[in-house]
Amino acid sequence: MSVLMRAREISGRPVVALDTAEDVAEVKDVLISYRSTSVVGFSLNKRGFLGSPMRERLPWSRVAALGRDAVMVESAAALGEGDEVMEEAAASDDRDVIGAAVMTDGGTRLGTVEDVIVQVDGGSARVVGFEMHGPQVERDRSAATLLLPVDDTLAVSGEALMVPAAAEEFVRDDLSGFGSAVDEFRRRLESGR
Amino acid sequence: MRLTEADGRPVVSRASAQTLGRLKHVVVDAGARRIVALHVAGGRRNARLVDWSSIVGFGPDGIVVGDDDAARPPTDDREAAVASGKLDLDGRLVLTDGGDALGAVSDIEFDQQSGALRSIVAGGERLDAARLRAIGPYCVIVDAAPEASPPGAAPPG
Repeated sequence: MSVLMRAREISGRPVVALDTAEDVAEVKDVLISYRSTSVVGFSLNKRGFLGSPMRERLPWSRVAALGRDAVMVESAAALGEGDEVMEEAAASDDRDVIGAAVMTDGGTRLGTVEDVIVQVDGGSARVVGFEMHGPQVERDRSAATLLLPVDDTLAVSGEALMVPAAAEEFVRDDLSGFGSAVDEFRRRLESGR
Repeated sequence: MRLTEADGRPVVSRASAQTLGRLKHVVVDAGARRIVALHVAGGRRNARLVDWSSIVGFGPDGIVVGDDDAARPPTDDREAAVASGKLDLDGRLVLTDGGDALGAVSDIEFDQQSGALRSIVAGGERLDAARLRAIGPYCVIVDAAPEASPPGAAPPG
């Protein structure tokens, strides 16, 4: 069974050790490798009000489960050094895609990235799309956000998410020709919770 | 037997016929899925524990133990945490090993002869005690329920 989650909803979830049933940390940021379009791990905060950032990280390989209410690990020993891919994702602050512009390869700015959609399926957590918001979306649709499946994105940087010019068409055309996929996507996102 | 029914029941010494206190909390061994001790409060001394093995009778009006010496102080951190209410099961969050919340513990069901846990009641559901994995300061962890088979997919019989 796969579940869709927004990356921003994962932030703040407790990291719970299966052996002691203790909350050992909480998720600060979801670290994403855009090359492999997958979640590579989490940066962490200490638990509690105004929890300060922790030096330890949680690589995806040491996550036992990512659920709707908590990230489960076998024990507190899962927290520690991040792997190379993770450190790369964590170090590049400019790769924070939330707030980045959504730009078509035709040179039109469609709006900004609001969130990253992650599909959790057994042992994997893949980036399957982006939620965007922008004047085009507002003008043409009643919904305030639009989902862009990751297959339709060409490149990602902290500055911009590059999408094919066709993406602009579907924004304008009220998602025609693309609608069923997005509707299904949206429906699953809503029912996931 | 539900813990909410037994809560507050007097714990009486058979040897002295005196009440040592009232049942307040239970110490659960999550691995063995049983109650291993009772926390008895309100007696002459506070924070005392009674091992399940000291119980001679678990009746509707009282829990009878052999003698006054059956009540002892906590001997480890876990027992001390239970006695101070820090590991109280009541109201504790239940998470599956998949990281999904099932609600808060409202009761537990146990066998009054052996102390074996039968189920944990949380979020309006009875969770079989066989699913219990750990009890800790943050939550109770249970195995996720096997996914329900779609209607019609169940084998006949």
